Amino acid sequence: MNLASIVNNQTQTPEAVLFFILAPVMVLSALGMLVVKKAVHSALLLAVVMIGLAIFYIANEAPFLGIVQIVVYTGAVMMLFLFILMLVGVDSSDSLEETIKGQRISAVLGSVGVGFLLISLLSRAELGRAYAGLELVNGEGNVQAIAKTLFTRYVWAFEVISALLITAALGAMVLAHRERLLPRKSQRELAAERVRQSAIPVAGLPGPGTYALHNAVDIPALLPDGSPADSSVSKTIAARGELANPNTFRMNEKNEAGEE
Amino acid sequence: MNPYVPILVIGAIGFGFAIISVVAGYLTGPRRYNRAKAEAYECGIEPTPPAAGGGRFPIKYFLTAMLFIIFDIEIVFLYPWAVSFDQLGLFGIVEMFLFILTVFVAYTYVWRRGGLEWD
Repeated sequence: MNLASIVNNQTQTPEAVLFFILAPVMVLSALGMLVVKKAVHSALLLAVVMIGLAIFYIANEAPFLGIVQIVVYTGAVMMLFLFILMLVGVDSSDSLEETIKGQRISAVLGSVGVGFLLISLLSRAELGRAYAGLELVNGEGNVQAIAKTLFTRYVWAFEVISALLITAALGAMVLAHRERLLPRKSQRELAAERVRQSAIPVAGLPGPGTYALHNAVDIPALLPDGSPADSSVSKTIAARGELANPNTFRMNEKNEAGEE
Repeated sequence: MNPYVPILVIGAIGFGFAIISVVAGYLTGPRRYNRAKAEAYECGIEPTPPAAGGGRFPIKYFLTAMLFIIFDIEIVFLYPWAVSFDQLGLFGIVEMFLFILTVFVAYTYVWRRGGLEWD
């Protein structure tokens, strides 16, 4: 089948119209994702690509796959990307310094390898091959067809996915979880600690004035041991040097003897 | 009727409602701006000025996000299985049991290591 007949036969369907509108949007978004400077914009363009892919799945009569694409990729994976952005800090810029030794070389080698893999896969694709058709594949329902293939032919791949999920959980635990070495403090213990360690009295600052004999804002209150409490007088008064000495109002034998 | 027509109609109603609400508010509402009106009314923290360090999240959320993805993917596989497990027979039950068992290894690990505790 040559190109002209493909164009004549297949580009007039609504699906083809959808493809020719959506595909450039997706390719431009994918390119923009690599080009834009802000990581958040890159993530949003990635979301555009993912939603476009989901629309293609639905247009190809794979509604379950389309919804899963939205739920898992646009929902969960996108959320993870945005979480990472917020963990790192939205405004933090990329460092061009290599933190892993030989990172650049291995990145280049890896991308060249993936590129060759893609080329070899795409070159094996044939146009105009006989296909089963959606009516046959989706005969008993899209989800049923997927389940039948997934749980019989690809059962090993399906079981291996659970190992992948274990790896994900383990990696997250190793990276993000800090082991608790001491038992967690209860609220009562925390409160007791706060009272014991605090520099500020728990019951508020003591009021000024020497009780029973004199009461004025410039006289420090007396602590239970008889010493003046500096925190009971306003700092302003202390700064002005207008602090009165409570000992002058003390009723004791020495004071009485001095007056006589 | 195409099953996507109701979805499109719902989408159009939602979109139209949003547009009409904004336009109607713009056309009919009085505009008296003041300081209090510009504030985010009972909507949490003030967005400006931005928090120091770009408003970074604690790393603890990463674990939550990852656990969410794990169970999300589990649900994605459970759904087609639940739809057609009567056709898959005993084999289907055994393989799903194995799958859930393996995922619960991860879950138990996270649980026993205190990954589910928030402190």
